[in-house]
Amino acid sequence: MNVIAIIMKQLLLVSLSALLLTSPGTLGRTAAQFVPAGVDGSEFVFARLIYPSYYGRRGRGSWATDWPKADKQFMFGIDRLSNVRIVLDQDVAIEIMDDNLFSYPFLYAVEVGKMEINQMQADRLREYMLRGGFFVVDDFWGTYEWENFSIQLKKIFPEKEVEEVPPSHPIFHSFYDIDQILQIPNVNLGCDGYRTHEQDGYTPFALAVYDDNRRPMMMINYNTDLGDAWEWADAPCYPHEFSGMAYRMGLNFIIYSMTH
Amino acid sequence: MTGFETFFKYTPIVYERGTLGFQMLDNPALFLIFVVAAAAAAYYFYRALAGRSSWGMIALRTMTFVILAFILMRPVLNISTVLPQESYLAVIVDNSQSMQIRDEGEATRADLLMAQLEATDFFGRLAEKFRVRVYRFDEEAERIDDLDRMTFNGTRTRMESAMDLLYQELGSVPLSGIALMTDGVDNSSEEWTEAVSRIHARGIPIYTVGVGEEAIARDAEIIRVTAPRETLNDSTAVAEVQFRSHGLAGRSATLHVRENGVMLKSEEISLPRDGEIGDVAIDLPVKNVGSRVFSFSIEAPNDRIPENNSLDSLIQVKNDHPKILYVEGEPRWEYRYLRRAVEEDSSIQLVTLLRTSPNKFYRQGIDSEDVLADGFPTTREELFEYKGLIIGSIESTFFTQEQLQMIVDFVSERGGGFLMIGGRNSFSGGRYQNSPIADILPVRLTDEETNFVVENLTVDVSDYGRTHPLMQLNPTGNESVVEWDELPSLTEFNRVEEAKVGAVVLAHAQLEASSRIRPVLLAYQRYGRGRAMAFMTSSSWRWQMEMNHEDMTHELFWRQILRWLVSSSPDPVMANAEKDSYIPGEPVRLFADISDSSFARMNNADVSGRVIDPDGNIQTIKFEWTGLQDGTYQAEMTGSVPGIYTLEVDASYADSAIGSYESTFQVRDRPVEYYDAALDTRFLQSVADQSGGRYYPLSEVGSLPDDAVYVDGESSIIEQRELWDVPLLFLLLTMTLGGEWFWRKMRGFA
Repeated sequence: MNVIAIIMKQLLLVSLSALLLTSPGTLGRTAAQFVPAGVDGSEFVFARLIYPSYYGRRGRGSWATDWPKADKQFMFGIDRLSNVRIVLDQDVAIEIMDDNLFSYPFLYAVEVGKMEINQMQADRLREYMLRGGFFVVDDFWGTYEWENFSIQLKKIFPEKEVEEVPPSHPIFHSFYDIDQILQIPNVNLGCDGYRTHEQDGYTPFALAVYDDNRRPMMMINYNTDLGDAWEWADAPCYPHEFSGMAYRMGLNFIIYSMTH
Repeated sequence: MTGFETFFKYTPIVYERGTLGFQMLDNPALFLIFVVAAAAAAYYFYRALAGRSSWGMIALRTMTFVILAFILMRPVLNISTVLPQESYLAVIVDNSQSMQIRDEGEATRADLLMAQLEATDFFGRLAEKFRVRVYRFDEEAERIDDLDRMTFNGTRTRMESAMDLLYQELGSVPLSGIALMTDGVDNSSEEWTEAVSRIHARGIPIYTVGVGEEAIARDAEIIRVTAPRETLNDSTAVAEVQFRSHGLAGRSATLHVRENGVMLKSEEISLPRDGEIGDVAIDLPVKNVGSRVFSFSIEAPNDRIPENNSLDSLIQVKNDHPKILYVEGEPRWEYRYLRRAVEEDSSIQLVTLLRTSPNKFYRQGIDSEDVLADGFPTTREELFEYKGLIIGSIESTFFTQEQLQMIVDFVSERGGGFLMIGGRNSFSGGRYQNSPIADILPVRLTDEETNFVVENLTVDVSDYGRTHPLMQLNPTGNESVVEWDELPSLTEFNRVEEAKVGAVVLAHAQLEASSRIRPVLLAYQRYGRGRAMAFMTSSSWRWQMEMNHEDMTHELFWRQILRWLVSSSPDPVMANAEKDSYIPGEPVRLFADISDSSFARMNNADVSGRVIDPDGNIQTIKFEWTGLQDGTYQAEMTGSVPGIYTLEVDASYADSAIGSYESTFQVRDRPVEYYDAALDTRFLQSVADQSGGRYYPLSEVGSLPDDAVYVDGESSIIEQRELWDVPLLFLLLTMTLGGEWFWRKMRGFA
């Protein structure tokens, strides 16, 4: 892809994003509601981040991909597998600028390759993570989406670099021992069994942005799709090694975020 | 002649010491017959008069007859009096620096004493009756020929030295009395009671002469500094400074704090009323390992005695990384943020055991894979390695009965710090009310299992908490923190409305929904050798997430809590000097507490120590079991070189090492004579009263030579002092006769 084409696409994306941001309701706040951690004595709320994007599903924006079934189904698994006291039956999605953002120390976002945030939103996400919030991003693929995500990330942490997380890192051993990063395909590819990658994202990566104490504060699942595996774990055609790995990685992320 | 003598003929002491008798009567009790007869005669004279006024005249007539009878029976006072020059009288004069104090700002106490003795010809009059021996005393006592040898520069006062010397020198001669001239400031006697008892046993009266004033005009003084002997590095120690003043009530003064001579901070204080003691808590940030001398000095306007304005405190700053075990029953944000808050605190090692699933534990902060590999410790040795223990949301049934009892012993016997944090399975929610842990906790648990409440609340710091070091959010003034009332709301808590008797409540929960109920939020109590704390919420993590990331309130709160938790937890071997500061030559008592690894007290350990003086000289000392308290050993030494001394103690049993310990103490010369230097009248009065002597203010010292002769001793005889011609009797007689005549005249009987 030549440089002019990239610039043209960026301009188009910025224009679309501006349009989306100035149109109330286009972020798809259909079911977002505040569910405080600790309600009914529960501790953990799986909060999905609502962010502006240049492309979305079913008119709700890319943040809503696999939502809410993936989140809900994942939480049922976590509830069954661990002692984490989960808020069940609640679909929590929250906007970046929502006053209650800091009530959710764990945040999940998908298809961040399509994310388009302004500097104010970037600053808020930065503050969220510097206070100790743990942010997991997932399901974005290939060079183009990476480049877009990198631009957003630089708005958040201009001074920080993305680093690969080695399998020996405690995050891969906080609950399960995960020794290799598996590429987890979406439901169609998983059921077809033909390939696992999307676009040119052939190799899965577990990446992170570390804080000053060398703790990952943003976990980046690149060229892999945990969300689809959680959502379709009950599909007979979807290979259990993928759904199993997605649950294991997700649970490890949660335990790590609640212990480090 | 005093006013008393004008009316009574003799001095008061003659009446105090003498016994009444009559030359015409063998038994003074027989005089009662005359009293009855006088009353009967008076009634006989006035029997014809009726009415109320007759009783008044009868009374006056009776008194007239009684006085006449008293005079005619030749009354006398029998009193023991020494034979001139047959006995000794010792005069002992305070030769210490405190006698140089100018109470009223002009003449010194010594000048006033000398002037008064000369003005009353004290020694001349005394020499007419006694063989006089003169002594001076400060730290030691010695006999002197005359008062020219008084120097008034002794740096310490030890009154027992004078009593000991008198007992030795005059133990076998007739000693009729001791005149003790002092301001009553005794700062070095250790066995005063024994020394003075020997004098009492001989029946020798002590006449005390008080020199000085009970209230020194315009003086501010630091009287005590209480600070921890040791603390963790990079923490905040709190020193309580007590002070008092005279003549400066309500005035402002400045309290300066220096660390190893370098100015640390200054604070304005208000001086209390005369006789009252003021105090102020000073936060001391300690950032350097080793012995730190903190000096506190008070600067007050027109202070007459600047010598008593400062005191030191020696604090040993250590880097010993005490271990704290935190057991948590479920992954919780409180656990995570607590860990993060203390992660950068290198002085604390937080070891955590987290139950991530019903049968799975996640360990953090461990030194090796063996640590806690089988879960919560099952032996006392394993548990007692930790100095602090935190229990989070984990039900009491997780522990065996043995483990629960072990936790109680951890606090009561090992002296560890215990903390329970709120949560669904904490306190009554974890059914701890039916476990031995309920005894440790500073709050009263109820039987309600559903005491875990989701409700917004804020921190309401108690009156006591406001001055407690744990609740000081910005002791150094350097951290970015907020005030308590600015903190974000907490969102849940374990509802307990009552703390135990003896517990200290540092904060209550202020519920947003109700201002009437104020449940306990943070409280602690001492339990055996240790202490236990209850923090009733698990949502303090919101202070971290809901405030700017640069705010350090959450971190500071937890670091202070955890440091406090282990700050007084002992090691198996502990050794310290009795005080942190000594005067050169003062005996230094050293104590060692020895326990085995399960913290059972050992009385048969081999305990040896080395004291390294400021010049590097090493003195080896042997500790002996005191026999009074299990596990406590004692040794004694003397430090003469000013500076900081290091004490190293090793304990072993049957050739196997138990442990070692290092501490410090300081030897420093300071003008002790100027501390607590006001005239101690009460003490001198008490010494005189107990010995049968008498207390004299300096202005009345001239009476002493005359009074001292009235003593019952080996060289005394009984003298009779006639009373028939006492002027008061004739005055009374005139008054009764005149009064009766006047009364009769008024009634028309005359």
